[in-house]
Amino acid sequence: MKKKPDTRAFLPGKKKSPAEVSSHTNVQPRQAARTIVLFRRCNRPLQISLFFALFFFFILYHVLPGLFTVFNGVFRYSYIVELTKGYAASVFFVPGQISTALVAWFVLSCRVPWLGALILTFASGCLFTAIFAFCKSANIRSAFFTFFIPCLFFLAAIFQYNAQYFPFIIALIGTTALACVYQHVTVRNNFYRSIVLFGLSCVSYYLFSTPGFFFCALAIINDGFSKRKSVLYTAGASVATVGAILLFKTAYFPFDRSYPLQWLFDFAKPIPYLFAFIPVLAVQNALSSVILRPIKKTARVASTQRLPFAAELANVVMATVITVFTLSFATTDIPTKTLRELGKTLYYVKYEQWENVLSLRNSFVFDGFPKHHSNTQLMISSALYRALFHTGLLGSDMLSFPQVCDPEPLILKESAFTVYFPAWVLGAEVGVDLGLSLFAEKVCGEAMENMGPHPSLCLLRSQIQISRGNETCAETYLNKVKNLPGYGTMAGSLLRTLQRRESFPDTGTIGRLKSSLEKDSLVLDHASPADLLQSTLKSNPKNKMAFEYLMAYYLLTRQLGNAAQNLYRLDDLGYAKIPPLYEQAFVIYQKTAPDSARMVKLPRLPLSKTAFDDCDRFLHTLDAYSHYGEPQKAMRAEFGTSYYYLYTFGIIPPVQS
Amino acid sequence: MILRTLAYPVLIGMALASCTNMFRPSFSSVEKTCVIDTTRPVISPDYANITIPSNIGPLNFSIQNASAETFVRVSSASEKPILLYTKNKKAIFPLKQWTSLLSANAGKVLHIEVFTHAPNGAWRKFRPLADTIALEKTDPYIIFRTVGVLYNFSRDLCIYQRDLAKNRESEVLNALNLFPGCVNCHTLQNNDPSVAMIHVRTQDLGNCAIVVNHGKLTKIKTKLGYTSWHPSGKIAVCSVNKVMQCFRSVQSDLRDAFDLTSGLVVYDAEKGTIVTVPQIYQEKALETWPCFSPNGKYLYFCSAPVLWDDYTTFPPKNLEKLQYSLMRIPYDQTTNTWGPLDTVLSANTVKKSMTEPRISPNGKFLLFCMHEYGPSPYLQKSSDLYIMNLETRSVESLTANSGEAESWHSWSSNGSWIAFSSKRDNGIMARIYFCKIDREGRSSKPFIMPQQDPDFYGSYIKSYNVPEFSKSRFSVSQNALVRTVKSLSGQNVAMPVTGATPVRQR
Repeated sequence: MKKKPDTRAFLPGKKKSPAEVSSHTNVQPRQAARTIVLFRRCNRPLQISLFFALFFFFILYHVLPGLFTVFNGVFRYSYIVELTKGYAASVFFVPGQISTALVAWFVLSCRVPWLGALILTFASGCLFTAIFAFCKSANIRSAFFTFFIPCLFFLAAIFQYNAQYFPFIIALIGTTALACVYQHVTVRNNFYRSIVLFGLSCVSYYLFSTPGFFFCALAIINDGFSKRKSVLYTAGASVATVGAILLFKTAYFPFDRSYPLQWLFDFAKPIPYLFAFIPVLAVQNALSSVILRPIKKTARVASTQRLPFAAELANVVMATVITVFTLSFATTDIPTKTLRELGKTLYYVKYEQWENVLSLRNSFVFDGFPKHHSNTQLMISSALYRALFHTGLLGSDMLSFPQVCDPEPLILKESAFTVYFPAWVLGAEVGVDLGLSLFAEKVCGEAMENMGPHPSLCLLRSQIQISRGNETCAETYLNKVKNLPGYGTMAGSLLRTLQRRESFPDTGTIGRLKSSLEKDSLVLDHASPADLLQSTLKSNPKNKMAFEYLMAYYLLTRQLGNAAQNLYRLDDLGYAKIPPLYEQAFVIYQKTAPDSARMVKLPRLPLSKTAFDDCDRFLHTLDAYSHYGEPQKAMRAEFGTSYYYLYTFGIIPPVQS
Repeated sequence: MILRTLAYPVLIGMALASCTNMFRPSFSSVEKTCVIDTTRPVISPDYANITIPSNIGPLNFSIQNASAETFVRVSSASEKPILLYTKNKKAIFPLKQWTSLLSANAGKVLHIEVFTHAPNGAWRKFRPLADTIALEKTDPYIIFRTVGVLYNFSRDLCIYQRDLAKNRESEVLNALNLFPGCVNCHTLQNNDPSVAMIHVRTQDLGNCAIVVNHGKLTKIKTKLGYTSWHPSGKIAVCSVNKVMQCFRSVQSDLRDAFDLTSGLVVYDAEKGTIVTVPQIYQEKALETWPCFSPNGKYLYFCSAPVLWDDYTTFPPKNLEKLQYSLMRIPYDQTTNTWGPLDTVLSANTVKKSMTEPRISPNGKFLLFCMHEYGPSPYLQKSSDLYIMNLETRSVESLTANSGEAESWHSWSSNGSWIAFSSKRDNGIMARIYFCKIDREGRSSKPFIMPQQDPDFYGSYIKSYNVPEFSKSRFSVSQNALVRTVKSLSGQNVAMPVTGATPVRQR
C-alpha cells in the first residue's frame, strides 16, 4: 500500500516549526522536487486562491477598473446598457449580442472599482475552470500551472482597456464550457453525436456569434484525444455545421457588425503579439505531457526523481517567465502605460479630482517633451490647465509643467477635430466649463457622429440645448438617456426640472452656459480661441474661467499688449491681488513697449514690487549665464515657473530628475 | 403525460388572462355613465383634424391629459369601430382592424373618442377628434434617409424604405456596411424604385454613384450630387457641387453649407457617359437642384451668380447675399437638344433664395423652398415650402409651414400627397411629415409619419431627410448594393470639358 505524503505542513493556516523551516531552507534537489510535486498535488486550492487573490488586487490597484468607464467609446464601439424593450429584443434576437450585453454590464459595474475587479477575477476563474475541466475530460495531460496561463493572457487583454476584446474572452469561456457539456453527453453512435454537435454549435453561435465556432474546434480536439477513431467524422460534421450556420447567417443577418475582426490582424497594436504565447504554451504542454505520465504511472517519486524535478522546474520556469513577461508588459509597455495615464486623466477630470490631475504634471508622458509632442501630452496639459483653474492656481502656477508657447492644449480647438474620443470629450467639457456652448455643441456632435450616441455626450448636448433655449430638443436627448443605468438619474432630474418649468441654478453648468451665450455672430472655423473667449466675456464679464483662459492664451502666444489690455477685468472678478504671471507679463510689456504700456487701463489692484525685482534678477542672471552658455538649463530651477523664462526661451522643459 | 404537463401552464395562463379582463371596466357602462367634457384630448403626435390617406398605417398616439386608465374608440361611417383599453395612456391600434376601417371609409370622417377618469374618479368623455380619410391613396412606400445631427463626419447614415400601411421599415443601404463611408441622396424615376440612383462616398473606394436599372446595377466612378431622372429613364441630370460648410454661433442650427462651385451635368444611362450643357454649366453661375417636368420637356433648376472671385477665402465673401433663382431650360428628347434659359422666378424679385424645385406629377404645381440665402434650406430656420401654379405663375406659401426649416419635399405619384422633412419638433432634428394637396394647391394640416410606439420621436435623436414616395419596394437587396459599391469594376466617367464649358480648376 502506497503511503501518502504528509501534506499538513503545506496546508493554509498551518504554522511550520522552526525545524521544518530550516529543513526547507537546506533542501536538496531531490527534496525540492518532492516539495514541488507535493505542493502541486496537495495545495491546488491554495494555489488557486493565491493566484486569484493576487489577480484581484493587481487589477484593483494597478489596472484600475474604473478606467474602463472612461475608455468606453474610445474604440468607437461603446457598451451601453439600456432598460428598454427594444434593447432587450436586440440582445436576445441577434446572435452574439448576449455576450456584448454582458460586456456592457461589466463596463457599467466598473463605476465601482472593486466590483469591476471582482467581475474580471470571476471571469478569469471561469476561464481557468472551463479549460481545466475540458482538458481533464479530454485526457489532455498538462501541468497544473499551465492552466493559469490563459488567465494571464486575459490579464494582458485587460491592460489594453479595450472592451472589444471581452466578447472574445466570454466566447472562449462559453465555448469551452459547452465543449465540457459535449464531453459528458453520452451518445450511441456518430450520427447522434453529430446531432449533439450541431445543436450545441447553434447554441454557441447564438450566444457568441462567429467566435462561437471555437466550440467546433474544441469538439475536434476532444475527439482527437479521447475518441480517435471518430475524429474525422467529428471534423466533417463540424465543417458541415459551420457551413450551415454561415449560410443561415448570410440569409438572415447579412450585415452582422457585432464583431469587426479587422483589429485582430492589425499588428500595429500590441494584442496580436500575445498570440506568440500559443507556441510557447504548446511546447510547454508537450513537455509536460511527456514528462508527467511516468509520475502518475509509477507513483514512485523517488524512482523518477530526475524527471519530475526537470518537469516541474520547467513548469515553474515557464509559468514564472510568462507571468513576469505579462506583468512587465503591463507595467513597462509604453503604449499601455500611456493609455493608463490618459485614462487616469479622464477619470480624474470626470470626477473632478483636480488635486489628482495636478499630480500628473510630473507624468512620465512629458519625458520626451518637446521632441515627442504627443496627443497624450496635449490632453493631459489641457486637463492640467483646467485643474489649475479649479484650484485657483492658473494665474500663478500655469507654467509648473512642461510646455512650449502653444495655446492648443487650452481648449483643444484643432485637436478636438482631429484626434480621437478622449480629446473630443475633454474639448467638449472644457467648452461647457468655459460657457462656449457653440464650440461644445460642435465637438459633441462630431464625437457622437463618430462614436455613436454616447450617453455622457447626450447629457452634455441636452444641457447645451437647455442653455440655448431649445428645451424640446433637450428633452429628446434626455429621453434617449433616461433608461440607461448610470445616466438615468441625472437625465430624470433634468427632465423633471424641465417639465415643472423650474429654472436651473445660475452656478450650475446650464446657468453658466446660459449666462455666456454668444451674441456675436462668429464663424467658428476661423475664430481663434481668443475670439471665442472674448465673445463669451462680452456676454458675461463675470466669467472668471473665460478670463483666465483668455489671459493664458495671450501669455502663451506672447501677445503681451492684449494681455495688458484685459487686466482691467480683474476688478470685476473679485481678485485680491494681481496673479503673479500677469504681473510678470505686464512688467515685460512695460520694459519692451513702455509707451504702449502707459496707455493701458490698469486694475485698481496695485502691481507688486516683487515682479519688478524678479525681472531684474532674471535679466541679471541671464546676462551672467549667457557668458557660460546654456542659460536655459541653468536657470530652470530658479526661474522655470516664471513667465520671464517662458517668454525668453519659449519652452519649459521637464524637470530633470 | 407530456401533454398534461404542458396543458397546466397554458390553462393557468388563460385563467390569469381572463382574471385581468375581469378587472377591466365594461365599456358600455363607461359610455353610459361618463360625463361629457368639452375639452379636447391632447394627443401626441398631433393627429387631430388632419386628412389622412386610406392606406396609411395605424396612427398610434399617447394621450397627454388622460389618466392611466383610458378607453379609445375609433370609428367611422361603416365597419366595426376599434375599441382600445389602455393603462399606459398609449393608443396602439391593431393593424388588421385599422386597415379595414380606413379602406372601408375612404372619403369619410374618422372619429376618435377618448374616455378617461376625471380627477373625482368618474369617467369622462373628451370632445371627439375628427380626421378626414381622403379618397386618394398615397404611394405604399417611402424611401428616406436618417442621419445624426452631424457636423463634420458622416458615418452613421442609413437609407430605409418604409411600408406606410404597416409602419414597418427595412434598410436599403446602411453606411456602416461601407465603413468608412457615407450614403448620400437617393433619386427615383417617377417614384419608381426600379430606376434609381444612390450616391456613395467611401474613404477607401472613392466616390461613386450606383445606378439601378430594372435590377441591373451599374457603378459610376465619379462624385455626383442632386439628381433628377428624365421620365424616359434614358438620361439623368446631376449636380456637381463643391460643398463647403462652416459653423455659425448665433442661429438655431450651427451649420451653414454652401457650394463654392457647382454646375449640372447630364448622365446618359444608355451610353454610360456624362456630358455638360453650356447653359447649365456656367463659369459665373452656381447651378444646382435639377428637376425634370413630368412630361420631360423642361428641366427646372436653381441658379445663382457667383458672388466671389477669391475661392480661397472661407466662408467666401457675400455668402449671406447668395440667393438662388428658379430657372428652367427646354429639352427635346427626340433630338437630345437643350434650348435657351428661362427664369421662372427671380431671386431679385422675391429677395430670397429658392431651392429644391419639385413638380407635381400632373405638371400643374411647382413646390420649392424659399429661405434667406444659400442653397441649403434644411439648415435655415427661415426655410418654408412655397407652391407655384405653373399655369398662372402665382406663388403661395403652404399653410403646412412652421417656424422651423421645411425642406426635402416629394410628391406622391398621384400628386395628392407630399412628404417633407420639417424641424418643427425641436428645431434641430428633422422629422417626416405628410400633407394633402388639393386641386387648388392648398395644403391640409400636416401629420408626422406614424410609428408603432407613439413616444418614438420623443427620444429619437437622428434627423430624417430625403423622403421619396415609392410605388413599390426597393427591389435590389442591400447585399447587392454593397457588393457593387465595393467592386473594383465600374464605369470610369471623366467630367468632360467641352469648348463651350469653361475649365474649372480651383
